[in-house]
Amino acid sequence: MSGLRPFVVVLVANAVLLLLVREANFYLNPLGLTLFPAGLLVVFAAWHLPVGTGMAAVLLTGLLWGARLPVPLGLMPLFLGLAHGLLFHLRRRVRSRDPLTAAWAAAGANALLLLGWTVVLWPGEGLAAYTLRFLGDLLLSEALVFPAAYWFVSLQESVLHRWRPAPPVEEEG
Amino acid sequence: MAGRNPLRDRPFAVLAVLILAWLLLPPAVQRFAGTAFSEFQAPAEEALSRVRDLGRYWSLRTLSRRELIETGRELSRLNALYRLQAGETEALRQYNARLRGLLDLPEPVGFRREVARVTGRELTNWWQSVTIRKGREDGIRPGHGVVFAGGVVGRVREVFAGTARVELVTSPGFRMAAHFEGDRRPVRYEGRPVGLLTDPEGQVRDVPSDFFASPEEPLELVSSRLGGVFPDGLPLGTVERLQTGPSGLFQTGPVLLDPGLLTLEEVAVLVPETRGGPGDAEP
Repeated sequence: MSGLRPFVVVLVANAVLLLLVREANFYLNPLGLTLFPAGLLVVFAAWHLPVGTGMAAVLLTGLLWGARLPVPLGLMPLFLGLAHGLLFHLRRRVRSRDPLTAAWAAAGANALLLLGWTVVLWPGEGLAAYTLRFLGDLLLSEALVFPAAYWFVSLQESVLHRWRPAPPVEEEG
Repeated sequence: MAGRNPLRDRPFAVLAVLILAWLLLPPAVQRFAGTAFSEFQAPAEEALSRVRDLGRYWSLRTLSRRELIETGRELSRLNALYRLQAGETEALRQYNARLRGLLDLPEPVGFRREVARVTGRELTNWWQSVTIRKGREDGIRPGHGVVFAGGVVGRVREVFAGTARVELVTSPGFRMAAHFEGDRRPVRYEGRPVGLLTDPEGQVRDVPSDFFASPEEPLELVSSRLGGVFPDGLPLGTVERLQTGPSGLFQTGPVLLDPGLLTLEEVAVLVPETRGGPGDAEP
């Protein structure tokens, strides 16, 4: 499954997901909670696409997300790229490609990325409130990423299946 | 025979090559890419906010005629009160101008208020900002102050063609000069991120040791015109507790901010009317 088609499907699906998450965060943020969806953005690309296509889609997604954040533009693509690489290595060991396994992988990657992001942006003071907020964000994100991954991976699979190239027509001799 | 691709099945090698290529790009190209990616998403965000507005409109349409009449009456009472206050403010402004003329004092920086709708909210553990539906085309520049009915909101951080991002007073990197109501000595205000299920808070530093605050006798922290971003006297928050800092010379304490900061819908950007404002230095 290589080429432009899967790249476009993953990129568009990720962009739409980022938009939906932004809308969810609009209502969640006043409660002191943030939904962090990073694991969802890498799992399909890492488990179903060749390394070049998947990495390109994930890095572009990272640039889309990172462009809106007050951190250096390359930081989010770097994080997503590392998670993609990790899951790509895992895919050799895990044979199952069903959405449930993908959901576990997405939730694991999401927890790792949120932890990494929290450590990199560790503040100088107010650590108790920072850690409490991290735990709240982690619980919420994991609770939503797991079921959402089940749906999100199936969605991308189904779109790619429907959008596959037509089989060549055999000419009658 | 075609050679085997050395990057095949090596995701970290691919990542390293791409990150290296990114780092080698000139900073101007990186900045352009950042702006382009941000501008690319602006229409989608605006569309979402319009859908939200439409949802609110339809929910308002479900109100009964009786409720609408009551709301209309309340608004007309408020309108009459605000007209009276506007008249008093104008009289005070003229009186102030006459006194300034008599004392030969320079005219302070005036501000035009550009009202803007909030389209996005990002109150995370790491930074706190909102996106507004006005930008460069409306004269907004980075560094301009932003206010709402409850007082100071923050400062414009990034400006795009039709949108702008505002760093909130709760953002950990936010700093501004302030003073307590009834006292001219400046103190330093710093932002603190919004905690889990808590009201917004900031922190005040460099408070002289003769100040005392308690829940019964709280101190009102207001904006200072030092820096030229905000006019003097806009409410910032309330201080109910102060404690002596490590130096023993100054005090620090938490600032209780208006909870309305977390659910902002409309804000006003303070665009300086005279030259020399913080945004005028921007190209």
